[in-house]
Amino acid sequence: MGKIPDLIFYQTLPVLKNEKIADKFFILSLQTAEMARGAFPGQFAMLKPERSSVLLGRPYSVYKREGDILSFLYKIYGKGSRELSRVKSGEKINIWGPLGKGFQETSLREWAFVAGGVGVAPFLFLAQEAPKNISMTLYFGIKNKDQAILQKEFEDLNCKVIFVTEDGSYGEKGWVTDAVKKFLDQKLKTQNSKLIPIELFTCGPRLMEKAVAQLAQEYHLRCQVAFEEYMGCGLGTCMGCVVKCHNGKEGQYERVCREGPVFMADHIVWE
Amino acid sequence: MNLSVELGRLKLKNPVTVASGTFGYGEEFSQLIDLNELGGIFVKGLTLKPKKGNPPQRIVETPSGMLNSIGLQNVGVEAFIQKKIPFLKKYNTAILANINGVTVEEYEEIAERLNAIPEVAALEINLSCPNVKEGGIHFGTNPDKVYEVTSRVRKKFSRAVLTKLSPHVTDIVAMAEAVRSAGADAVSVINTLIGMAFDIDRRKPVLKSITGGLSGPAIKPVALRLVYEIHSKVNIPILGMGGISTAEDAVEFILAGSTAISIGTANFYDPLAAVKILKGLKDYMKKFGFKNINELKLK
Repeated sequence: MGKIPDLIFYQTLPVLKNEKIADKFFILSLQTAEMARGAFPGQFAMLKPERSSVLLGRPYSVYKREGDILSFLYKIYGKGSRELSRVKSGEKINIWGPLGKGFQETSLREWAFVAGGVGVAPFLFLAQEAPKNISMTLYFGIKNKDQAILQKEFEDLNCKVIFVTEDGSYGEKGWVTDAVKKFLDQKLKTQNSKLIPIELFTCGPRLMEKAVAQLAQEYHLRCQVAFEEYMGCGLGTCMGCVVKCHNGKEGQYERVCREGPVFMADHIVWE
Repeated sequence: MNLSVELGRLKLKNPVTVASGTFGYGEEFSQLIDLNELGGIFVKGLTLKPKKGNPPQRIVETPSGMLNSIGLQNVGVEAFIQKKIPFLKKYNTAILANINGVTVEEYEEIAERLNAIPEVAALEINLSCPNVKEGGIHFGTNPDKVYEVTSRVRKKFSRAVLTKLSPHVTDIVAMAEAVRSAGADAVSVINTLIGMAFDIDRRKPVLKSITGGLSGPAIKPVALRLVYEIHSKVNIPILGMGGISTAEDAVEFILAGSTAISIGTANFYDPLAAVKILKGLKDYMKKFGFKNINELKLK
């Protein structure tokens, strides 16, 4: 984990399945032994329907691997994802990947995933690939009960799921970061040490990620952030998808597609 | 079949190159295509010192194109020489350095430094970057400045020199004539067009730097017309570019008067574009019985 892939493939593949699982949420699956073999959690691929009116590919992180089959969870945001959602089984899409550095290895045995909406995607693959004795909890921030998806998928992988809805229509009410904070405070009460042996992972809207990074700093936790970002090429050549990082005196822009999409939270200059 | 072309002193084994800023320094693409197939690689625009680039958001897709405002983020000429040349020189393809300065002296200094690196086959003087505050396009819209920078770089660099032109001029012929009389080997035509896009939810420009360079198929007809005009009126070889995404597009640019072509934005949305276009050019020549790519250009 955590290194730039040696092997990147460009393929034109028929879509196996492209199913709506909730309002605006879809899962698309493709059979690709080459990409499936090399992919690791946190990585993504660029997808573009063969017949497409948009120009650029769109980046989607790998949601699941089952043998030769890779699946991508995505949400309709704009024109590109809307077109993707209309691709039928058997129709072809162009895909290049696997791309980016995935999640980094950690020696900690308790993992907390903090996801906002479609940001949940890379965590299922991470849960699939997690070593056996890891205790995992997903804090899943969603708008309302209609988006309460994937509970069974995570629970089947021994990952506990705590939903937090903005309107209280499902699970806890409020912000997902409040639920995480409550959990961390409880942890502190039940142990003597001030250090909590938990690794945080977060993916979702930038403001949520920033709030999780602040929690990590406050509670002295390691925290890995997977960014959602608008990209041009996904390969590291257009320099379009950068994020400001602590690197040298003035900081430096690093590419989400190449140095990321996963960064340590304390490496990011949160603006 | 003879595919080799000459842009003045610059000899390329085939006319398909990749445009500066769309191919990094070749490393990433080497994972997907064989760089040996390319006529040449124009590397990401270099400056004397490393450059941080502009704050994000830097890119946005627009109808049949995209806007970018990267701001020349690059490793600087020294790191290019130390870290990127050793990789690139393993391949049988021309290494072409796009250079940028804020002052004429900076252009001269980079040219002098790269003159000592024999692997660099040519310099492309970028006088038309729309996304940096100083230098760039300010030089590129004034024929006297175009002449001055080109002739001073010419004196510092013994191999081929190309000057990249901005489409944002009333008289492109005057610019190309300035480049010719300054002793350059060729002109690169065209750089991006300046454009903008708004985010109607945030009610702000999408790009943090407000404007950006428009590239992609959207600009192809504009580029073709400018290539054609220069070819008709100025005696200088042309490297044509602007929205080329298929072999058919490449043929159009050659018909308009380009000796060689560059693939730009297409590299982003089809990483195999350059290789496919080269193959398509060969198929086209075969189909119409051309033995030499140079016969294709309109006289």
